Amino acid sequence: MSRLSFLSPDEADAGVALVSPLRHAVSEGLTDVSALGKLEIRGENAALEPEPGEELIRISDDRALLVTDASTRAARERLAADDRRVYDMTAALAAFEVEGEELLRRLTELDLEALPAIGSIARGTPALIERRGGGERFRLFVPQELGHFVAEVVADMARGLGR
Amino acid sequence: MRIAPQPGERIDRRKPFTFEYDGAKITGFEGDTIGSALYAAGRRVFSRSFKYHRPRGLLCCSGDCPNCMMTVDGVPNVRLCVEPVRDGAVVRAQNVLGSLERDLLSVVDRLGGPFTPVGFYYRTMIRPRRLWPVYERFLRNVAGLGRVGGADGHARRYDTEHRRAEVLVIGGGGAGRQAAAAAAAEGRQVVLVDERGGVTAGGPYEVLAPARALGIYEGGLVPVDAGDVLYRFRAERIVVATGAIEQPLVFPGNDLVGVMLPNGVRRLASEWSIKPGEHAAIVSVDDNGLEVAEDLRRAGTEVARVVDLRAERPVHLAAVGRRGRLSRLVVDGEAVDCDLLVMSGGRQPAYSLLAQSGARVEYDPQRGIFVPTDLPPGVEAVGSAAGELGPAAVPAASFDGGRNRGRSFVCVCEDVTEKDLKRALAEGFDSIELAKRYTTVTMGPCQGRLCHVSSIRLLARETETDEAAIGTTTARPPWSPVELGLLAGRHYEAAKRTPLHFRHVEAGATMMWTGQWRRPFDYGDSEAEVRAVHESLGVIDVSTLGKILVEGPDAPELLERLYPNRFADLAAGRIRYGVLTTDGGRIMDDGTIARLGDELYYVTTTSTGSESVCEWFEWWNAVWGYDVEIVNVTGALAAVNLAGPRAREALAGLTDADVSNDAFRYLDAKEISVAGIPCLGLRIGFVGELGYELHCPASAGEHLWDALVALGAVPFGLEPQRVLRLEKAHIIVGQDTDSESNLLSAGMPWIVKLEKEDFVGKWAVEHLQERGVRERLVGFTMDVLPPEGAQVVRDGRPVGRVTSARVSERVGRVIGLAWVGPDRAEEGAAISIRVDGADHPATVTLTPFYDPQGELLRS
Repeated sequence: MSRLSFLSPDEADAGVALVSPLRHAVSEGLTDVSALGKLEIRGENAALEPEPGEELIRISDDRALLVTDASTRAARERLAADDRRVYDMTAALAAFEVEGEELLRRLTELDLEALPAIGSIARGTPALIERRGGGERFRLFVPQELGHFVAEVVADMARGLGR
Repeated sequence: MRIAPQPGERIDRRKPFTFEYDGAKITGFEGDTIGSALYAAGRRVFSRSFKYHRPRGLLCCSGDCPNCMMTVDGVPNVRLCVEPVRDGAVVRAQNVLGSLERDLLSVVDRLGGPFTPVGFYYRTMIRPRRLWPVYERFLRNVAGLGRVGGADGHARRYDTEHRRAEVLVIGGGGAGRQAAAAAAAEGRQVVLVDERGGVTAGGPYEVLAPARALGIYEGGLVPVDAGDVLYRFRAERIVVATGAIEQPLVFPGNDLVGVMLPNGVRRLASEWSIKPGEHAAIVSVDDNGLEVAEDLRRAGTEVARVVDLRAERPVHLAAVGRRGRLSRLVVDGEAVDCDLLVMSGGRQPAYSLLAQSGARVEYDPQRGIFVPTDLPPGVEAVGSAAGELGPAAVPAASFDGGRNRGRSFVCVCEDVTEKDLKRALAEGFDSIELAKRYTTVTMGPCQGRLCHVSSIRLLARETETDEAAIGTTTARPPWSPVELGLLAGRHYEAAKRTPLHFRHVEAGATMMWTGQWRRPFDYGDSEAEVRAVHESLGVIDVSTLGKILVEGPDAPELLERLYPNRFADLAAGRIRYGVLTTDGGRIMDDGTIARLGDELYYVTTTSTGSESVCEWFEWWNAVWGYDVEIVNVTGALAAVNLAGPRAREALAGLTDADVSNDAFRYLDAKEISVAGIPCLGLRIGFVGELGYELHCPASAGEHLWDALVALGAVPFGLEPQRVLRLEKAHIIVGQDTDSESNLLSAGMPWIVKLEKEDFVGKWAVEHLQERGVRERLVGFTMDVLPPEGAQVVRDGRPVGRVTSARVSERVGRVIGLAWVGPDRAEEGAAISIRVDGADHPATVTLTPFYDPQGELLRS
């Protein structure tokens, strides 16, 4: 069976320059973390536990996103050995972090007390939103093709808040 | 002029603010509104009425009525009585020709009366029809409110914010503050919204002021207008403490400048320390009106006459004025000179928000008010809004003026008089909803605050029934006037950019929209780009293609049943073209399907189809109960098509894989490494030359693109691609097909495998085969270029249409696709196509215009 290696940027040679979907985006007010590894895991995930350096975001009982600090390779191999259906979404999702609940409230209707959750931001762009740490820092995952647009919106919102 | 500080004074005389009003500098103090500062400066006329251009002065001083609306800093319809003073504001009167004091359009009031009864424009201005636009322009100029300035609307910024509250209290009066404090004491998260901004923040609950709740929608959604920000509140509990609204009385002259509601007078005298008038009279059904006498005396106004309607029942009552200003009150023939008349028709609970939320509204005949009942779960009413009001007499629906026959206004917003309502009744508009629509009573800026009860009372009297039987009109948001810009919020146009977007921009491409996607139209020279593909090597960004993984033991079966052709028998490593059809056999989307393993397929869709196809797959997967994962990987992958005679040689230079024609055949799918990047290589071609589609991780897209361009591949855009695909007569779903097109009419009967047990749309294709198709999509050649959508004509009548047409240098003629009658769908058939009014001959072609046998693709 195919290993679907063409989905995984970390299968590229060392000399290949990988670029972030947000590289040309307005960077004020947001931190680009698109380089994080992201694996979509399909199927029952109750028993699944992340390893050190990984974060498991359960989207539903049978859908989860495993976020890895480094390459997804180790996680992919481990989960494949476990017979799980795993899809590398590292390149599919732009990821960034922003500060401030007020900014988030202008971006999304989601209940900020009930994160992580998937909802729409900036007029219909699907986003997975989670809190980072105990404060007002948020991490958002959006389709990379809309990453630049979302960054423009975030910058505009920040201007509206006088930042 | 200001008087000595009053007990309830709310201005800070040490802090002056100066603004400009019609050229004059006016000074007010902190705590003043623009309206109160103008009143203190001696201004009495604040607007001209909607229809008759009658002078109008301050009436409610509470932001309820339309009487003080002016244009402030270019923003029309600002209610000055609640607009805080600020330095440098520019205030202008609106809806006047001349000035407020001398408005030339007031001629309508003097002369227009008999000619402008309610609904006159429905009757007197409909003939001749062609003149209506002229009438309309005239009416629009004469009647109405402020004007929206051309660019002013864009100068302001409006934001939207989503908020949550456990308890949302609407109204900052005593009852509202008490409810908020009580809920906060229970540990709830409370937000209080107050219109007037009189509540101080910093307590145990959050205060939003000045801000207005616009409505209560399903699910506890309450939009709140806070000026520049629209808060969309979701509240678990909503406490409505909107208070009560003072009601006017209906009598001749009740709209004269100087006739006011009790609170307006109270605020002028006590909060802003302004002497409201010299001589005052009071007509009231309750203590609320009578108590103003005390404020007036303190302010130095003589109270010349008090009519307590609970004790007195005058038959005749009228206000008489000079040039629109009150000069005396006449009660049963007895005249009192006055320049201020306080009228109080009782207080009506402000139940509108409650009614919007689903509460019922019941008439209380004892008190003469409408009271909300049957509140939905999660919604409460407290204080006056719930009907907790002091005793009051029920006023007469209207008073006869006796010998004083001025107009009696029921609705000051829309200039609807008692006579207008009676006339509507006489014409048969006898329910409140019909009378409302015909006369527009309650439809003005006050949204019925001051005219709803009066109009119901009048209808009840005239139809000899009671107010309960008349009932109320439907309450709808917005409860307060709101700027459209605030409802619209920020304007964002979502743009999808491919991983190669900035390479195109850097290369000087002209970008265009295709759906939400931004794509290169061309890089400056479409013809040269077409030539490069034919003669050498071109590369196009096709990352917009939808890409879907279909994986699981039932994957072959799922695709077998979704597509009209076969996919279960497709060998691993091979590709087949597929068209999706609806249950009715209509063409939905198309693309290529590569089998990557026993249980794994890679499906591509059109650029705009990825989401709908994914949903379609998931729906049927659920319906049939298959074990299949459907994963949309559109954004995960960049995709390019490398096409041209040099394609193989170029690819070989970037990979160790064997790309010879034997090892990598036409319609093969292979996972190969290109320029160090893991790719899925698909040997297919939308254009007619040898080609490879390379799909790789989006973040490696630029690297791959750069490597291909470095080998001499010429980037080509969408326009050259459209020429190249037309040379192959490849259809574009949505361009050459529409919602009626099916596989038989689109000339693809070879796709349909009717021997299959079942597939989506099978019955429809069988049916079509029996009945025959009404149109056929065919190719054509001709010598002039028709626009897309040009008509195919026969005997001067349209019998078809052109869907695509381009000049092909390669073919040497104009080529295109068109829908024609089935009898014309023959090789070499002659048809006519209308271009610029002239019919031109064209010849039908059923095979591709270029390389009809597809030898180049296989070579």
